[in-house]
Amino acid sequence: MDGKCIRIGSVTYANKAKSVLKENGFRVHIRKTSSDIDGCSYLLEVEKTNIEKTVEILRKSEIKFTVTERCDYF
Amino acid sequence: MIYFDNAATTFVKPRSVHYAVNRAMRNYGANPGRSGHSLALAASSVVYECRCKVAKFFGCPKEENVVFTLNGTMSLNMAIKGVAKKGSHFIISCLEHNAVARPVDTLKRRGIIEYDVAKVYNSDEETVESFKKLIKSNTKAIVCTHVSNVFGNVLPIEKIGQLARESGITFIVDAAQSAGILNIDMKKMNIDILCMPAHKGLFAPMGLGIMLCSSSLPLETLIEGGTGSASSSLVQPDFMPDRFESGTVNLPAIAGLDAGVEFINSVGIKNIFNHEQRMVRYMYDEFSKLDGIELYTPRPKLPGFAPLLSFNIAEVGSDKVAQLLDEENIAVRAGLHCAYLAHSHYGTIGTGTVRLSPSLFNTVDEAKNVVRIVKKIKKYLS
Repeated sequence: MDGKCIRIGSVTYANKAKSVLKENGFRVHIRKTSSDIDGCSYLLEVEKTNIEKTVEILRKSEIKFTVTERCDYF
Repeated sequence: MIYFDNAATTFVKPRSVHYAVNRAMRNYGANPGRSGHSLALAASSVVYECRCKVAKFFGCPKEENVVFTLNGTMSLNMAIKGVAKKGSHFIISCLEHNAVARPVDTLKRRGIIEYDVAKVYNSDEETVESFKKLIKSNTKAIVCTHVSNVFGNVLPIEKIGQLARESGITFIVDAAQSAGILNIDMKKMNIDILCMPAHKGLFAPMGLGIMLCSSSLPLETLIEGGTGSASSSLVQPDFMPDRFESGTVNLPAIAGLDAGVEFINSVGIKNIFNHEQRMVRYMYDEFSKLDGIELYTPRPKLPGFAPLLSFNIAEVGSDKVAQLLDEENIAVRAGLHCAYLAHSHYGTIGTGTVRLSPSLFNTVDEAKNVVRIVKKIKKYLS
């Protein structure tokens, strides 16, 4: 996904994001991470899409997230 | 054993609930929302799916506004104490369970709120009017039960909700006895916060409650702690459901709840209600023919009454009758049912009542047997 990741602060919203993106035909995988920014969060790996499309879908669903350059918070 | 104590907790549960709980315990019993391994993520997915199902079932606008608690009482305490502000005024009904009455009264004794008790009548208009008359400029919340856990009265929730909405008052509903028996639509009924246990009409195991919020209300928290989110801050998260879900949720019970709601959807809530009502009406009609059996309500039927029945054998304590029924392998609940206000309203504080509450898994033949045994006990005691 353009080398970028979606970071979401809670497991409920991560699952909601996964559900919404799946409804739009994307395959999504959730990874837990412990970032140094705000503690626990979840990274969404979305296959075969671009970041703009993903961002648009999540915003429409009122899911809070950040786009990060780093996908390796382990 | 004839189990007619389903208002306390449903037993038997659907097989699908047994299987779902068993699957959770055996296959993915990891901590949802904590660790990052695949089992924990699978568990979190089950919790999320259940949130979605419960939200849809009760007309809650967002699944993240479905909060899992330990039981219905905890949900009500979170809602009531979360809404209460110093100097505010609450209105409750005269049929409340102690799960509503005690937290409200505790807030009063602590000098935080004042409250009034609205009388419930057989006429919806009179009931709504009795709530309306009690509204003050500082009334913050109306808290009322949907169905009396003792006498089965159905309160006109939609109309009271409309009154609350028009008056800018938060409307909190205790759906302990109605969830899974009567249709509940938070939006249509103007319910701001809906509270219930999961182990009654929703067929989940014990140890799980639900609090649904129509929007992200500025509720104060009752409990703070680990949520698996925003962990680098000492401030409790401000987003749902994490704000109100500190500590590990009851995954096996949530899996059971998911199966329970699915089961209700497959059978149809109206069919469940009609089946239970058939049994309660039969018993009511038979008891009505007998001298010395005290009944307290009109013949149970919608919209006024849900299918549970309180009665007494004249001049005999309800506990004695329940004990004799138990000796005949019939399980019922007697006494005050944790509902001081309701018994005060009906004048049954001294005796309590014997409560019969069948479920979908009971039969009319069982209801016939209960009537037969009550007749036998009445004869024995006379």
